[in-house]
Amino acid sequence: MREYYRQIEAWLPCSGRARRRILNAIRGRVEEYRAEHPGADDAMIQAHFGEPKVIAQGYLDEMGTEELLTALRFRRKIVPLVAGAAVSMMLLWTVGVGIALADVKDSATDTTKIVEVVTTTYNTEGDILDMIAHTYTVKENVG
Amino acid sequence: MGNDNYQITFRRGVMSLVILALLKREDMYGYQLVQETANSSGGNLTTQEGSLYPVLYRLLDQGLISDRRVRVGKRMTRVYYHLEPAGLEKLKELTAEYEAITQGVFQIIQGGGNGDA
Repeated sequence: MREYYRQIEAWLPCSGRARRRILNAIRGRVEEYRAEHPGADDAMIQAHFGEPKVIAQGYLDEMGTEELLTALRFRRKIVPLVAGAAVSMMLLWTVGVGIALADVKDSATDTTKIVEVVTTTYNTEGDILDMIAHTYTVKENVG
Repeated sequence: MGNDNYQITFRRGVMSLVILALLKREDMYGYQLVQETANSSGGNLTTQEGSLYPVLYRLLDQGLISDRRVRVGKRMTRVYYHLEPAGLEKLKELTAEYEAITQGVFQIIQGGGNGDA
Protein backbone atom coordinates (compact mmCIF):
# COMPACT_ATOMS: atom_id res chain seq x y z
CA MET A 1 0.00 0.00 0.00
CA ARG A 2 2.99 2.30 0.44
CA GLU A 3 3.38 2.65 -3.33
CA TYR A 4 -0.37 3.28 -3.65
CA TYR A 5 -0.20 6.16 -1.15
CA ARG A 6 2.97 7.47 -2.81
CA GLN A 7 1.18 7.52 -6.18
CA ILE A 8 -1.81 9.37 -4.73
CA GLU A 9 0.54 11.92 -3.18
CA ALA A 10 2.36 12.34 -6.48
CA TRP A 11 -0.83 12.88 -8.48
CA LEU A 12 -2.70 15.21 -6.12
CA PRO A 13 -2.44 18.73 -7.59
CA CYS A 14 -2.56 20.65 -4.30
CA SER A 15 -0.41 22.12 -1.53
CA GLY A 16 1.51 19.90 0.92
CA ARG A 17 -0.96 20.60 3.74
CA ALA A 18 -3.98 19.67 1.65
CA ARG A 19 -2.19 16.59 0.31
CA ARG A 20 -1.35 15.37 3.81
CA ARG A 21 -4.91 15.88 5.05
CA ILE A 22 -6.47 14.05 2.08
CA LEU A 23 -3.95 11.24 2.37
CA ASN A 24 -4.57 10.92 6.13
CA ALA A 25 -8.33 10.72 5.51
CA ILE A 26 -7.82 7.97 2.89
CA ARG A 27 -5.34 6.10 5.13
CA GLY A 28 -7.78 6.22 8.04
CA ARG A 29 -10.61 4.93 5.88
CA VAL A 30 -8.42 2.16 4.42
CA GLU A 31 -7.70 0.98 7.97
CA GLU A 32 -11.43 1.03 8.75
CA TYR A 33 -12.11 -0.88 5.54
CA ARG A 34 -9.52 -3.50 6.52
CA ALA A 35 -11.25 -3.91 9.89
CA GLU A 36 -14.66 -4.20 8.21
CA HIS A 37 -13.36 -6.64 5.54
CA PRO A 38 -10.72 -8.84 7.20
CA GLY A 39 -10.22 -10.90 4.03
CA ALA A 40 -9.52 -7.90 1.78
CA ASP A 41 -6.07 -7.81 0.18
CA ASP A 42 -4.28 -4.74 -1.20
CA ALA A 43 -5.68 -5.24 -4.72
CA MET A 44 -9.25 -5.36 -3.41
CA ILE A 45 -8.71 -2.27 -1.31
CA GLN A 46 -7.24 -0.36 -4.24
CA ALA A 47 -10.13 -1.43 -6.47
CA HIS A 48 -12.58 -0.12 -3.85
CA PHE A 49 -10.84 3.23 -3.29
CA GLY A 50 -9.88 3.83 -6.91
CA GLU A 51 -6.74 4.48 -8.94
CA PRO A 52 -4.45 7.24 -7.63
CA LYS A 53 -4.97 9.22 -10.83
CA VAL A 54 -8.76 9.05 -10.48
CA ILE A 55 -8.55 10.14 -6.83
CA ALA A 56 -6.48 13.15 -7.87
CA GLN A 57 -9.01 13.88 -10.59
CA GLY A 58 -11.65 14.20 -7.85
CA TYR A 59 -9.73 17.18 -6.49
CA LEU A 60 -9.19 18.69 -9.93
CA ASP A 61 -12.87 18.34 -10.84
CA GLU A 62 -13.88 20.51 -7.91
CA MET A 63 -11.38 23.28 -8.60
CA GLY A 64 -13.03 26.41 -9.96
CA THR A 65 -11.93 27.53 -13.43
CA GLU A 66 -10.27 30.65 -12.02
CA GLU A 67 -8.40 28.64 -9.40
CA LEU A 68 -7.32 26.14 -12.04
CA LEU A 69 -6.08 28.88 -14.39
CA THR A 70 -4.15 30.58 -11.55
CA ALA A 71 -2.49 27.26 -10.68
CA LEU A 72 -1.57 26.63 -14.33
CA ARG A 73 -0.26 30.18 -14.75
CA PHE A 74 1.88 29.85 -11.62
CA ARG A 75 3.19 26.53 -12.93
CA ARG A 76 4.02 28.11 -16.29
CA LYS A 77 6.03 30.81 -14.51
CA ILE A 78 7.75 28.67 -11.92
CA VAL A 79 8.83 25.79 -14.23
CA PRO A 80 11.01 27.91 -16.58
CA LEU A 81 12.43 29.73 -13.54
CA VAL A 82 13.48 26.51 -11.84
CA ALA A 83 14.75 25.06 -15.13
CA GLY A 84 16.78 28.23 -15.79
CA ALA A 85 18.28 28.13 -12.31
CA ALA A 86 19.18 24.46 -12.76
CA VAL A 87 20.87 25.12 -16.15
CA SER A 88 22.80 28.09 -14.66
CA MET A 89 23.98 25.93 -11.77
CA MET A 90 25.11 23.21 -14.18
CA LEU A 91 27.00 25.75 -16.33
CA LEU A 92 28.72 27.22 -13.26
CA TRP A 93 29.61 23.76 -12.06
CA THR A 94 31.01 22.83 -15.51
CA VAL A 95 33.13 26.02 -15.64
CA GLY A 96 34.36 25.40 -12.09
CA VAL A 97 35.34 21.82 -12.88
CA GLY A 98 37.08 22.99 -16.12
CA ILE A 99 39.18 25.53 -14.25
CA ALA A 100 40.10 23.01 -11.57
CA LEU A 101 41.15 20.45 -14.22
CA ALA A 102 43.29 23.04 -16.05
CA ASP A 103 45.05 23.88 -12.77
CA VAL A 104 45.76 20.22 -12.11
CA LYS A 105 47.17 19.81 -15.65
CA ASP A 106 49.38 22.90 -15.29
CA SER A 107 50.78 21.80 -11.96
CA ALA A 108 51.55 18.37 -13.43
CA THR A 109 53.58 19.76 -16.36
CA ASP A 110 55.26 22.77 -14.74
CA THR A 111 58.71 22.63 -13.16
CA THR A 112 60.06 25.27 -10.87
CA LYS A 113 63.70 26.38 -11.07
CA ILE A 114 65.48 28.55 -8.60
CA VAL A 115 68.08 30.71 -10.33
CA GLU A 116 70.64 32.62 -8.41
CA VAL A 117 72.21 35.66 -10.07
CA VAL A 118 75.29 37.13 -8.48
CA THR A 119 76.23 40.71 -9.38
CA THR A 120 79.89 41.52 -8.75
CA THR A 121 81.34 45.04 -8.82
CA TYR A 122 85.07 45.43 -9.61
CA ASN A 123 87.36 48.48 -9.45
CA THR A 124 89.73 49.41 -12.26
CA GLU A 125 92.44 47.18 -10.79
CA GLY A 126 90.17 44.19 -10.86
CA ASP A 127 89.53 44.04 -7.15
CA ILE A 128 86.11 42.98 -6.02
CA LEU A 129 84.27 45.87 -4.40
CA ASP A 130 80.83 44.36 -3.91
CA MET A 131 78.89 41.12 -4.48
CA ILE A 132 75.09 41.00 -4.43
CA ALA A 133 73.24 37.72 -4.81
CA HIS A 134 69.65 37.70 -6.21
CA THR A 135 67.48 34.58 -6.16
CA TYR A 136 64.66 34.18 -8.75
CA THR A 137 61.99 31.48 -9.01
CA VAL A 138 61.33 30.55 -12.63
CA LYS A 139 58.47 28.31 -13.82
CA GLU A 140 59.08 26.27 -16.94
CA ASN A 141 56.42 24.30 -18.81
CA VAL A 142 57.79 21.00 -20.01
CA GLY A 143 54.44 19.54 -21.19
CA MET B 1 -12.13 11.97 -26.80
CA GLY B 2 -13.70 8.75 -25.50
CA ASN B 3 -16.93 8.33 -23.54
CA ASP B 4 -15.04 8.15 -20.26
CA ASN B 5 -13.53 11.55 -20.83
CA TYR B 6 -16.91 13.09 -21.62
CA GLN B 7 -18.34 11.61 -18.44
CA ILE B 8 -15.46 13.05 -16.44
CA THR B 9 -15.96 16.45 -18.10
CA PHE B 10 -19.70 16.44 -17.33
CA ARG B 11 -18.99 15.55 -13.71
CA ARG B 12 -16.77 18.58 -13.13
CA GLY B 13 -18.08 20.36 -10.03
CA VAL B 14 -21.06 18.03 -9.69
CA MET B 15 -19.72 15.98 -6.77
CA SER B 16 -19.69 19.02 -4.46
CA LEU B 17 -23.34 19.61 -5.30
CA VAL B 18 -24.19 15.92 -4.79
CA ILE B 19 -22.42 15.70 -1.42
CA LEU B 20 -24.02 18.91 -0.14
CA ALA B 21 -27.45 17.66 -1.26
CA LEU B 22 -26.97 14.28 0.44
CA LEU B 23 -25.75 15.89 3.67
CA LYS B 24 -28.84 18.10 3.69
CA ARG B 25 -30.84 14.91 4.40
CA GLU B 26 -28.67 13.76 7.30
CA ASP B 27 -25.09 13.52 8.53
CA MET B 28 -23.25 10.74 6.69
CA TYR B 29 -19.85 9.03 6.72
CA GLY B 30 -17.64 8.54 3.65
CA TYR B 31 -18.76 5.14 2.46
CA GLN B 32 -22.39 6.00 3.17
CA LEU B 33 -22.01 8.97 0.80
CA VAL B 34 -20.65 6.64 -1.90
CA GLN B 35 -23.58 4.25 -1.48
CA GLU B 36 -26.18 7.01 -1.33
CA THR B 37 -24.75 8.62 -4.48
CA ALA B 38 -25.31 5.40 -6.39
CA ASN B 39 -28.69 4.56 -4.81
CA SER B 40 -30.23 8.02 -5.04
CA SER B 41 -29.13 8.50 -8.67
CA GLY B 42 -30.56 5.14 -9.69
CA GLY B 43 -27.04 3.94 -10.43
CA ASN B 44 -26.42 6.69 -13.00
CA LEU B 45 -23.85 8.41 -10.85
CA THR B 46 -21.21 6.34 -9.14
CA THR B 47 -17.97 7.25 -7.46
CA GLN B 48 -15.15 5.34 -5.84
CA GLU B 49 -14.56 6.08 -2.21
CA GLY B 50 -11.05 7.44 -2.72
CA SER B 51 -12.32 10.15 -5.08
CA LEU B 52 -14.65 11.42 -2.41
CA TYR B 53 -11.99 12.55 0.06
CA PRO B 54 -10.42 15.31 -2.06
CA VAL B 55 -13.94 16.73 -2.53
CA LEU B 56 -14.76 16.42 1.18
CA TYR B 57 -11.46 18.09 2.05
CA ARG B 58 -12.30 21.07 -0.17
CA LEU B 59 -15.77 21.41 1.33
CA LEU B 60 -14.29 21.22 4.85
CA ASP B 61 -11.64 23.76 3.93
CA GLN B 62 -14.30 26.17 2.65
CA GLY B 63 -16.32 25.77 5.87
CA LEU B 64 -19.30 24.36 3.97
CA ILE B 65 -19.30 21.12 5.96
CA SER B 66 -17.80 19.96 9.25
CA ASP B 67 -16.66 16.56 10.47
CA ARG B 68 -16.87 14.72 13.77
CA ARG B 69 -15.52 11.37 14.91
CA VAL B 70 -17.98 8.85 16.29
CA ARG B 71 -16.84 5.70 18.06
CA VAL B 72 -18.28 2.60 16.43
CA GLY B 73 -17.82 -0.63 18.35
CA LYS B 74 -14.83 -1.08 20.62
CA ARG B 75 -11.94 0.14 18.50
CA MET B 76 -13.31 1.76 15.36
CA THR B 77 -14.14 5.41 14.87
CA ARG B 78 -16.15 6.72 11.96
CA VAL B 79 -15.97 10.26 10.56
CA TYR B 80 -19.40 11.81 10.01
CA TYR B 81 -19.85 14.86 7.81
CA HIS B 82 -22.37 17.58 8.61
CA LEU B 83 -23.79 20.35 6.40
CA GLU B 84 -23.07 23.82 7.82
CA PRO B 85 -25.31 26.88 7.21
CA ALA B 86 -22.76 28.20 4.68
CA GLY B 87 -23.00 24.83 2.91
CA LEU B 88 -26.79 25.11 2.73
CA GLU B 89 -26.45 28.53 1.09
CA LYS B 90 -23.88 27.16 -1.34
CA LEU B 91 -26.20 24.24 -2.12
CA LYS B 92 -29.02 26.64 -3.07
CA GLU B 93 -26.65 28.66 -5.25
CA LEU B 94 -25.16 25.61 -6.99
CA THR B 95 -28.59 24.02 -7.50
CA ALA B 96 -29.93 27.16 -9.21
CA GLU B 97 -26.88 27.35 -11.47
CA TYR B 98 -26.99 23.66 -12.28
CA GLU B 99 -30.70 23.74 -13.12
CA ALA B 100 -30.25 26.74 -15.40
CA ILE B 101 -27.40 25.09 -17.27
CA THR B 102 -29.01 21.65 -17.64
CA GLN B 103 -32.35 23.18 -18.72
CA GLY B 104 -30.57 25.27 -21.31
CA VAL B 105 -28.64 22.30 -22.65
CA PHE B 106 -31.77 20.12 -22.81
CA GLN B 107 -33.68 22.82 -24.65
CA ILE B 108 -30.95 22.88 -27.27
CA ILE B 109 -30.74 19.08 -27.49
CA GLN B 110 -34.50 18.67 -27.81
CA GLY B 111 -34.72 21.46 -30.37
CA GLY B 112 -37.06 23.60 -28.24
CA GLY B 113 -36.62 27.14 -26.99
CA ASN B 114 -37.71 30.53 -28.32
CA GLY B 115 -38.53 30.77 -31.98
CA ASP B 116 -38.84 27.02 -32.50
CA ALA B 117 -42.08 25.38 -33.52
